[in-house]
Amino acid sequence: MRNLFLFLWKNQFTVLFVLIETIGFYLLVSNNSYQQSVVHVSGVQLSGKVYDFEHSYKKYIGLLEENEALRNENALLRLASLNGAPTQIEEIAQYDCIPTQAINSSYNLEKNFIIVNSGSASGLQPANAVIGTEGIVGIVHTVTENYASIIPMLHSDSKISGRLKGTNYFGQCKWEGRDDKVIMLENIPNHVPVAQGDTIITRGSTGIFPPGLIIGFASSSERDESSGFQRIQVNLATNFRKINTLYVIQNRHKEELDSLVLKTQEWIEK
Amino acid sequence: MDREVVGQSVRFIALIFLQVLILNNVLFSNLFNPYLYIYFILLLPVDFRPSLGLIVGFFLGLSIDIFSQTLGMHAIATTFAAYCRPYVLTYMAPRDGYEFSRNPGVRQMGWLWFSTYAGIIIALHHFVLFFVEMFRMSGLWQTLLKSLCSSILTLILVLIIQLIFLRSNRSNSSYE
Repeated sequence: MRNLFLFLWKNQFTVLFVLIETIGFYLLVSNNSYQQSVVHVSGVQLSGKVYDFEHSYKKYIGLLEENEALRNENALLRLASLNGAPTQIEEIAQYDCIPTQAINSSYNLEKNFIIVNSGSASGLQPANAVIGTEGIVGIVHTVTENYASIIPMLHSDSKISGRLKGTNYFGQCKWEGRDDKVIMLENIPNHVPVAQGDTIITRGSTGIFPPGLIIGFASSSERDESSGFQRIQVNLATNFRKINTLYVIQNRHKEELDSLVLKTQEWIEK
Repeated sequence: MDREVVGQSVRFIALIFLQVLILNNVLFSNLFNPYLYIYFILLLPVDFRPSLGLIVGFFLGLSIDIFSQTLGMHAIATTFAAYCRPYVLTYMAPRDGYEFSRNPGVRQMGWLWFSTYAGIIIALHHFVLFFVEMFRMSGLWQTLLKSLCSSILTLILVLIIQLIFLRSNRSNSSYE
């Protein structure tokens, strides 16, 4: 220990230099959006490579379970096509579906993330929707050539419009950062009856998610008499601890919808 | 001593204003961006404490950053220049050492010595600055070309200022 201090004291000039440059780089990366994006993109690229390597060894362990889940999904799809009903994903040709695989994910942080092993080479774009085999998962954030990072619903900035199935009432789904199985649906008026197990589905208001995909199931609700709105606790359909096979969904009409919304907003502001 | 400190402070502020009010607005080519404020680091006394030089360099760069909305960029480059300066001074020391504790200017050291010394530090500063601005390896050649062109322009400006003060000092021997 004493030698360490002696060494630092002897090289105090260089130590001070490194310290000041660290402050400089911290300022640079936290205040300049271009440099920030470079750090972010190379971070995704690097961690993508590392986790891809890890994943190539780990994927055999969960093979049985994964097979089971895919078989179940296959059965559902087959059943749906036999009955002639439109399936959940191929509802209209408006949507594209790209299968991908999560190679790393977290569920215990305040701002969680998922890294998948498809990128711009497979056609992924930022702000695409991501769904799993059971329910929706999140939104694509950064895309590199072969990898992409996803902001899951378990993220403090994540806001998804949810609708109570069977009614036309909708609200915002927010994650409160405690439980990775639970999300809150807000802004549903008090007079709307909510029973345990009611399905919460996407509203599709921004054109990212197709309407009608399952978010989760209501477990309880607390009415707030002062505001007139209730807060519904929703058990997520997706198990974020076992993220594996994912589908990225692209809306071919997204740009059209965006420009219409923009024009409408301009018109309202006039 | 006090007079020296006052003179340095005046130069510090004058160079910041010259840089942000005039030179930052001179844009006649993307390749030529003079950063004359580094002149302050060049003219610190030879025996100025190196660690203090780092801190002064950081705050000089930070001041430029605040005015040009590039927080961190100039601070990193100027701190780097202040870090290199003592090594350049040691490397370029005359055979019998520096006999004075004054500013390393043309009057004390001659045109050739001063141009080499200024050229090295300006080039190092500009290269780090443009590298941090580009922030990736793929644009390295463009960064090198840009730092070379801009360094030459800054060096010319530095020598012009030296020339002006050399003339005026003949009549009145105050600080430059």
